[in-house]
Amino acid sequence: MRRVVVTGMGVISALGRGREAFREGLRVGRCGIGPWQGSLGEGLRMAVGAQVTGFDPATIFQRGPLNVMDRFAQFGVWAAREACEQAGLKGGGAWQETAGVVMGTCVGGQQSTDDGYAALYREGKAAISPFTVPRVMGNAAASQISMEFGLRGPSFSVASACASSNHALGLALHLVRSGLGEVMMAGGSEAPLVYGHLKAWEALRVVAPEVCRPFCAERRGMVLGEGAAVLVLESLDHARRRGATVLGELAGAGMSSDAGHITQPSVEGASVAMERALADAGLTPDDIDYINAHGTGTKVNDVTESRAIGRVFGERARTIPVSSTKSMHGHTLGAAGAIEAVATLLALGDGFVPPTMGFVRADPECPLDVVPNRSRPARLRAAMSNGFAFGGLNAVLVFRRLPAEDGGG
Amino acid sequence: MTEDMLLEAVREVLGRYTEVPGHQIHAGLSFEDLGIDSLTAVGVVADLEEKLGITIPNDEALEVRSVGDVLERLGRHLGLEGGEAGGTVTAG
Repeated sequence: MRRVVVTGMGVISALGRGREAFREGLRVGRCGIGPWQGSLGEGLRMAVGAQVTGFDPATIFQRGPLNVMDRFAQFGVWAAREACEQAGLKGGGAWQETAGVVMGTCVGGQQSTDDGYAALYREGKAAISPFTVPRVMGNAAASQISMEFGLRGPSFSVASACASSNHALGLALHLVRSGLGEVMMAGGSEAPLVYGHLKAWEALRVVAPEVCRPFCAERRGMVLGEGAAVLVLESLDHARRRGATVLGELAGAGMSSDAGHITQPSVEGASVAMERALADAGLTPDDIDYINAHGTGTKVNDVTESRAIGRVFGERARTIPVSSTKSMHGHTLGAAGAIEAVATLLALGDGFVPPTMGFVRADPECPLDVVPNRSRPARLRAAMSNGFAFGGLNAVLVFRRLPAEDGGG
Repeated sequence: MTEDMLLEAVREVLGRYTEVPGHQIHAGLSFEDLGIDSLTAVGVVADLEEKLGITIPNDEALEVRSVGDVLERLGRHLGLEGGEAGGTVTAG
């Protein structure tokens, strides 16, 4: 079976634009959550979000492409550029013929949807922008990335709510393994911080009032964020042939469905996905040195996830470091898995465990080492990253640090 | 607004979500008895907020598990006597 490695990573989030800002944020435990910038907060009960700041599309994109790109597609292309540059992939190569893009998104072009409805229903206009459809469609980010880099292989979007980009990365892993696409760009992007959409989350009453405290006894919900991350995946052989630096191995993916409730997660579904990811990677629970949790900070998720980790890892569940980086970059829905994959790969590569910020005191129902409030150095062999979606769709990834003799950087 | 009027409002809203007939709904029933799960309970509270023109904080809304809980919390926000005593609204 072909081994699949990561040779490029790009990320944009509330922790900043690019890998270095993200890495530094994770190391020092910077919280990107804060009061709404601009006029977004008017009429909202929720007071905070994890916004991308200093992102000026007019200086990043040319007018033509920008006209047809919603913010979620802009983030996706931005992250793909950073990933491609790190991977050292150049245009005009044969690799582009079979290379493709798999991107996760939960809610697609929300700003463009909101703008269109506002024009129709509030302003009483009879017509809206002809660019609405290309901006709104869920595959827009995947399509824009394929156009930007001239990728002519299999490309599509994956929608499984908060697990979307874990599913996207898992599917891209299988495409590379099977040889359908020797190089794949995969990840997720989301820009859900739009009035109409935020009102929908407000109604669900799962959003925290001021800060996200995953696994803490005083947690009061999730905090929504925006951003994107893209990984360049390729077969180990392909990476070696072209002399690429390997950042880590995507060793396995496990997927499952609760087949239960539309919003209530299940211990069974989550633990089965973790077990399948381990089996796919050919690893056992003892091989995993860090878990990047789904860790939304809601009452229900964190208890369910703790029990699922307990079921899979047994006694080790109490000592293995488990952190939720959503406490820093917020819950970015369809981008969450990809952003957390970057966090997991940075942890493996740099030898540290990112913290769970906002932690006040332990919840007896979450008996885990959640790395409270401070990152710590640790030599990690392999790590797991969890994604559990509304609707009971689960996807878990396992990454492994590649030894230098295997081409690891 | 009286306690009877509140009960009628609660019965009307619950009737949108349960197969149990309105006249059989009383404070002693849990949402589980009515086949109402936690997500639907959030919908019930939202409908009652709109119907009665009040706002219930998230933490309180998420704790509602029974008809009695709804009557008690809404009664308190509406300033009804029974609600102030902490959940002694009886009906049905």
